[in-house]
Parts: sequence; C-alpha cells; structure tokens
Amino acid sequence: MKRKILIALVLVLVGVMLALPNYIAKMPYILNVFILAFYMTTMSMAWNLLGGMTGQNSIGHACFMGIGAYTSVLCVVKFGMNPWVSLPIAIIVTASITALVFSQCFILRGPYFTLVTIAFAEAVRQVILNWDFAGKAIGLGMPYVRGNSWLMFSFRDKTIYYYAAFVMMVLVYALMKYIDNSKLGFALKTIREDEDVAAAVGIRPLKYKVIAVVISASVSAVAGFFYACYYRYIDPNIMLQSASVELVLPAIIGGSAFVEGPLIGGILMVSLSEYLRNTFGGVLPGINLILYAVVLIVVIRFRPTGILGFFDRRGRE
Amino acid sequence: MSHIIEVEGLTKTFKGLKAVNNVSLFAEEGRITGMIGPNGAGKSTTFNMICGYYPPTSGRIRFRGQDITGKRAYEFADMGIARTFQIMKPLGNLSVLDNVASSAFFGRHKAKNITQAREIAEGILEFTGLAQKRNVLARSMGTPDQKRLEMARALATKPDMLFLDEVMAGLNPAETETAIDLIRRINSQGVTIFLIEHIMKAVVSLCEKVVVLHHGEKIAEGTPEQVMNDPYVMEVYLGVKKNA
Repeated sequence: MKRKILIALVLVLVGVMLALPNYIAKMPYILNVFILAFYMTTMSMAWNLLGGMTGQNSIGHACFMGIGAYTSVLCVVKFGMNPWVSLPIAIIVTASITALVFSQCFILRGPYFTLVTIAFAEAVRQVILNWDFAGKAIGLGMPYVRGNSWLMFSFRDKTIYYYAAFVMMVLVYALMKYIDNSKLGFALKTIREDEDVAAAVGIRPLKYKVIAVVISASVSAVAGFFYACYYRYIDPNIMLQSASVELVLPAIIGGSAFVEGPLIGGILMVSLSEYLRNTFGGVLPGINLILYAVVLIVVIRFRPTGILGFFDRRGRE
Repeated sequence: MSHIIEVEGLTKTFKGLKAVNNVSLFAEEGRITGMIGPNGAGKSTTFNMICGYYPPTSGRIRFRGQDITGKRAYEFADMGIARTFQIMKPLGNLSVLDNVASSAFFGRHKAKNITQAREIAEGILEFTGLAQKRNVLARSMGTPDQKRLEMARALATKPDMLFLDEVMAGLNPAETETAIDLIRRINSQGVTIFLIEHIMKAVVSLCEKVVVLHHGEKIAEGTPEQVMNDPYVMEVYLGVKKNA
C-alpha cells in the first residue's frame, strides 16, 4: 500500500517535471535553475557511486567532468568533429586517464585518498591552464550554431536543454539504482564497510574500486559534455576545487547512503541557493552564502545521514 | 582421512620479533581441529597467514595438496576456504540479510541476481538462527548475534573449510552452548573446521584434535585429553608446581 502511494507520487512528480517547461518557457532564468539542478544532481550521483557507495571520498570530481568537457570541445573545435562523435571519445579518454591514475592510488585509504583526488584535479587544471592548444586561461568556445540543431546539440530554445538534462539525470539515476542492487553494488558496499571482510568473501578490493572510479568518471564526462554544449564555453575554472566540493554537497545533504540522496539533495540545494541569491543577494551581499552555510551545518549537525536519514527506520529498531 | 590443510614450517617475523616460529600442522577433512594457547602465542597470526592476510616469512601452506602459499586473501573464497574475524567486522550500515547476501554474490554460490542472493542468505540466516533479525542493521546487534553473523557470512561463501577465530569469546554459557551446537551442525554438513578458542569446554566438546601454541611454537598436538595432560602444556597454562 505504502509502496503504491510512493510510486504514484513519483509518477506525478515526473509528470509535473515533464509538463513544467510549458509554463515557464518564457522565464529563461527559472529554466536555467532547473537545468543547473539536473546537471548538479547528475554530477552528485556520479560522485555518490564512489563516495557514498564505495566509501572513497573524492574532492576532485569537477576534474573528471572537466576532462570530459575539454576532450569533447577540443574534438569539436580543433578537429572539426560532430559533438555526438566527441561524446564517446570524451568518455573513453576520461575513463582511461582515471583508470590509469587511480589504479595506482587506491592503496591509499581514507583521507590520504581524498588528498590524492585534490592533487590530481589541481594538476589537471594547471596543465590546461598552461596548455596553448587547450586555450590556456582564456578557455574554449563551442562553434556558433544558428537555431535549434540536434545534430550539433545546440539550441536557442532552453526547454530542449531542460528535457535533455532531465533525461540525462533520470538515466543516470536508473544506472545507479541498477548498480545498487547488483553484484557490483554489493561488492562496493562491502568494500565501503570493511576491505578485509570484502577480501574474506572473495571480493578483490582494488578491482572493484577501479571499476567504481571508471563508471563514476564516465558519468562525469557525460555531464561535462552536456555542460560544454549548454554553456557553449568552458575555461579551467570549471575544475576549481570549490566546484568539486559543491557537487559533493547534494549527496551529503540528501543522504549519501541512498541512491536517491543526491537526487533529493541536488534539487533542494540548487533551488535553495538560487532562491537565497535572488531574495537576499541584492539586499545584503553575501548573506545568501551565509544562510546556505547555516542550512548545511544544521542538516549535518542533526542528521549526519542526510535528509533521507530521517525516513530510515532500520537503525533504530 | 586425507589432510585438507597442511602447514609446513610456517614462520612469521615482525621486525626481528618471531611471532610464529616453524609451526607445522594439518587438519583432517571433515573433522574439527582446534588451536589453543595463551594470549600472544601467535594463534591469530598463524590464522592470518594461512588465510592470506599476512605473507609468511617462510614455510609452505597446502590446501588439498595444492600449494597456496602467497595467494591473496580474496582468492581463498573461490577455493572454498572461509574465515571469521576475531574482532567482529559486521558490514554495519547494511541489513543482516544483505551482509550475508553480499557473500552469496561472491564466494562459490555466485548468485546471478539479488533475488537469488537474498534467497541463499535467507536459508543461511534460518540455519544460523538469525532469521528474525534479517532487516536489522548489523551494527545495532549485540556481540552474540554479531559473532553468529560472522559465521553466517563465512558460510554464505559455501566453503569446504572454515576457519573460526574465537567465535565464542564474550558469550555467556547459554550462548556458548548455542554456538557449539551451531558449529556441530556446520560440521555435520561436511565442512571441515579449524578453530581458535579460549573456552576449554568448547574445545573439549568439539575438537577431535588440538594443537597448542606457546611463544609462537607448537608445543603439543593430540586429542584434547592428551593435550590437557601434557606436562608442558600444564606448565604453560598453570605454572610450575613449587614443591613437586
């Protein structure tokens, strides 16, 4: 019975999301907030596979996204490829780089691993920052396209981006949900809880951690591709560490132990931060960021397991 | 009876300290073998070497005649060797059912999907008497249940050989009885058992053969009666009689 209500609720919500652009098509700012929320949520879900499910906290995910974005923009701008052709290339490049680097770094556990992700992200950003071919600090722009073109994945009409981002988010959610209940998911969760136990039941920790980081980075690359096609311009600042932190927050706030955590957290936090900026940003500059920080602290203080932790009764039986 | 596990001249040195020195032992297929010894005798170290957690400094380990020295810990489940941990390591944030289901995915059951894995896990929870706790988070259980969960998780890998590291420590007499009964039932399904235990009552009632370690060396081996009447073992456990 409870399950049925939940399914009905989700269906209604999806329906509302799909119908929404019809009503806000004339409000590009609101549309932009939604697109941003979908994008952030996708990134946060990618992070959550490694951070929440495998317990390997990364503060370098903006860099995975950046590698994906840069690869696809370089392919389009410098080699004249179609954006859709550049997408698989971006995924492969991002996946191989992360597999190569992180297979060597996974012997580090806990905070040491986190430090490596920070260093890795910063190193990549510095390379781009000093690399002529990649536009240095000036960044790169995607070619100008007239009107709406699916072929070039470029639209004047924001509602199409809205639907594209929504579909991307739903697909990534479906992927994460599938992994959560699969053999892979169980391996990752066992590793998160205890690597010695994982080994004792026949799970090779290194192998599964590399699989997790590769999937996580690949999803980030797809999000990076979307970012590049949406904003039509990228620069090394998309890989700043603050960007990495920003996309960890939705997962933590929503509840990183749950596949739905980043989903709830992403939608809530992005709309909250935009609302605060809108309402208070003009009144007292900076107050919006302070309020945002207060919300973060309150949630973490009273429910470290995130918003969804309020609804999880298992631990209290 | 064939020897399922054979250990030959096993030695482990930690920075000059000999934790285990030239230990040789074997376990017979289908039987329960025990290992006893005072604290710090090197029992757990020996276990960890046999199960691939520490590489031995020297010595050979054979499983069914095949040399498995130097194999990594994650390779053991596939061979049919499972272990429990002395300090319980429940997967705290997973339900008891999922703790066991995780083993069913790997080990030798190789469950294809979650339904199958949970089905296998249900059966094992039933067998180990944890069925009522299936939806409880593992970290919220008490010591006796966590000890049982250790065994349930090891069983879910479908082992031929089970290493139990002090699964009865910290249990009261009634709980110990239940644990002894469970170990007997596991053994009667054809699983060879090798256990470390401090509770002598359990050792005497379960084991057909006992190995005694002291200061990293094997000092006695035999049936529980033989071992307990061995003068050196008595000296190690009880001290020397003054006016003997």
